[in-house]
Amino acid sequence: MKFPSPSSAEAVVSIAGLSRRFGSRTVLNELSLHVPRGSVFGLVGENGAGKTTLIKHILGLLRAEQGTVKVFGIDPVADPVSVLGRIGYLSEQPDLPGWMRVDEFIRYTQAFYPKWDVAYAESLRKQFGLDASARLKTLSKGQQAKAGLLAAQAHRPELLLLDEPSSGLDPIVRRDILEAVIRTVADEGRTVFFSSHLLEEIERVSDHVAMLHRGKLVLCGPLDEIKARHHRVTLHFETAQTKPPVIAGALSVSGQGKEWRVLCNGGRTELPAIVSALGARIVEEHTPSLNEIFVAQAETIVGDRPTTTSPPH
Amino acid sequence: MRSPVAALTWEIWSRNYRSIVSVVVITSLCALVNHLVPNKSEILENYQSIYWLLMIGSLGLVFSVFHHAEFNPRKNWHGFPYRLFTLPVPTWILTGLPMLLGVIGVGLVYFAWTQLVFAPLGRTVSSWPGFVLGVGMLCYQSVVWSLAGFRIVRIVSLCFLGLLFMNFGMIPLFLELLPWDRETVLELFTFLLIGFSMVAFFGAWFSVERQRRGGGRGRGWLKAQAGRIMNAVPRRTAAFSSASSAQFWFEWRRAGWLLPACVALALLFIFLPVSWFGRKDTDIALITLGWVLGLPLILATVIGKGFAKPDFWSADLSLPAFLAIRPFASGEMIVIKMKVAAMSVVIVWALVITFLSLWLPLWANTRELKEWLENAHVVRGGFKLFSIAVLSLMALAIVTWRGMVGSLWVGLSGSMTRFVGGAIVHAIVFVLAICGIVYAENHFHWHDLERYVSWLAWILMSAVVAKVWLAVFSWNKISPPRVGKYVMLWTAGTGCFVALGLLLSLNVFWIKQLIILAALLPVPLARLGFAPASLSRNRHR
Repeated sequence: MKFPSPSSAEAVVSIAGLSRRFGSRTVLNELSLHVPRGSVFGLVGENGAGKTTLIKHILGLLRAEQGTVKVFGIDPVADPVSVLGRIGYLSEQPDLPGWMRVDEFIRYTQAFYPKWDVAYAESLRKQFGLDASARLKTLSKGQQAKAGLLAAQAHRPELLLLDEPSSGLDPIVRRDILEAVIRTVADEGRTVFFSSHLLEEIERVSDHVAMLHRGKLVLCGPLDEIKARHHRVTLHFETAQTKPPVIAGALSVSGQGKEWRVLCNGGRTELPAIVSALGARIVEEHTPSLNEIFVAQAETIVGDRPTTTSPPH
Repeated sequence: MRSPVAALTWEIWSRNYRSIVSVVVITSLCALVNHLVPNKSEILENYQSIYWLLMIGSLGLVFSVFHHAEFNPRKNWHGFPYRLFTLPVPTWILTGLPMLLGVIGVGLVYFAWTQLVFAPLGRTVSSWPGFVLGVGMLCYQSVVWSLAGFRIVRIVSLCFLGLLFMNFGMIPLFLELLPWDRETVLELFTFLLIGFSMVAFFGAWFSVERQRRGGGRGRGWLKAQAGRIMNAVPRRTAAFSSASSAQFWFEWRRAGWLLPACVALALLFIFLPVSWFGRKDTDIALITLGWVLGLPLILATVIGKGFAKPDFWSADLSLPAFLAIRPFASGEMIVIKMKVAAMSVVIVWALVITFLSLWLPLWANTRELKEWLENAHVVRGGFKLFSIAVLSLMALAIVTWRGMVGSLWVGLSGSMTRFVGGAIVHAIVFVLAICGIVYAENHFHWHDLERYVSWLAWILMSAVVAKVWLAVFSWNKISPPRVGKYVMLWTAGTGCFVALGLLLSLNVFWIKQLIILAALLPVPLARLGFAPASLSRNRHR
């Protein structure tokens, strides 16, 4: 599936035809993706869809078996120093050396980044409530995430990569991470690329979204466009329907009797005529949430057909 | 599988079946060879040492099978598997089962070796060491689980226990030297060992039960005091001047200090008391001197295996993401590791020299040593003797450094197969060397000297050619300035060995030739050239 993409000059990350296998399992399959400069790019997908594998390719921790990965126009495997110096990275499990103290960790990380902002790092440390003399292993999971976020942010990276940063964290830490995303974007020209299961978060802060399913990109583009393309309508039939109505372009159809809800991708202008031909009328219409689009897309691909479900009685 | 005991036993089997099968195969093969070969006395005479080594290896594998500890990255400790604590099984079964299986396992393997391998050769082996090994297994497991939070203390305790049980195992050899009768002594030690096993079992049960109830990992008051002391120690507060200095600090704090610390502890707690109590004995002085000089080499070989890994304490060989995402070249990481190893070695030898310079003049009985030095002074002269001493020290330091960095190319590869394979190759070389020495002892004839020299020359020549060829192959992707720097260091190190060899050797042409060839081998070249590519493959998989 081809998706419209920014020109390579605008793209911070350019991925073309990327494939990756682990043993007999294809984790990424002919994936092409461009992340525009200055965007907040949200990556969604179910567990095992290949999100972390994709992020590891962007970091250069995995070598592209097939296809190319360019970050700032550079191959991150060929020249990791140039690429990693401009990236801030935080993963779900920050993997910090437990024996280090917070202040040692900050000084150690600082040494690798010439653009490290000492005052900013200190303000973040205070804001996050991190005790400078505490060992990292004694910090809670949330505090470790904050320490990782501090290290990822304090050199004001051009690209902030967050791999499910808020999974399993409390709302306060999640808020801090979202604020970090907003702060990064506030700096002109900086880009955020983050994956998350929490679609509300992605919807709140992202302006571009990509959806991975079993290693394939099934949805990619500006969030507004994606949401404008999708619409959820409620249909009312004069007589009770025993089978779900068949509507071209519908991603999911659910309901029973006279009331059926349909989530469509595109084809809004043709929909009234189709509905009318089926003997129904549109009684309600609204823009679906990203969560609804994600579920519908995922279920469509799993079943390879519009999903039909009955509401709970 | 309805019984928890069966499920737990199956888990131990499924995790370790390779080791168990290896032990069975090794023991069976040796027994089969004994059965098939008619001339058993020849086996006993020439290959007994190999059998002993294989037996020790088999027993080592049994200990590794019933080690029954796991690394818990979240808790950052290595102890009794935490995940088992949620099972609806009493703690005494959780700990008692691996202990029981361990004792049975080690007993069976010892019995198989004594009855199936050594007995057919006509060699009677006492069953006493088997009993000691069983108790040793219990104590080993108890220490591993109880001291999960104290890794260094645990290593020291295990070393101490190992030495203690070696002595227990050798008691039948010294019965004649003791003033009591044989039965009394054995009865006494049997009761002592039964006491040890009771303490081990109940100690393991108690400590694992405490861990299970959230009562800590062997920490508590002692750990709090240690933490307080560590907090009081002044630490670096200044920013690092460069990424290299930060990485150097990181590597030093993570693994670099271990070798000097182990050497310092050994000098303080083993060699200092031994040298003091044996201060009147000239033989003890010579033996102690030999061990003190050999200690850094032995420890560097062992610690070097861990130092070569991305994380000393972890069984996972992949480069942690924390390091992999640093904007720091893989080659630079190798250089930093080499520098940290060099600093460790310098400190270690400074400690050894300090100890020797205090011990030898102040309380050692150096009568024989002085005689030997005086003779050497007469034969070689003062300047030559001084040069030999300095060059020997440099050579020892270089070999210690080699022990630390020699495995980097496999340790950093991220491949467990390569890492274990490298260790196996080292073990095979060690066994072959022992076989060669045993063979040479039994079959050396002066009239074949020319043939031996020729063989030795060819072996050394092949090794040198292989080393240089591999070096060219491995260093061709590394930047010329770095190659130039290391070639200079390698030349200096090799020059030291050549000079030492020539100073020590007799003035015979072929001996000098052999020494020059041999001197080209000790300083690592090709393996260090492979290390950056190896790390890079690990970093960008």
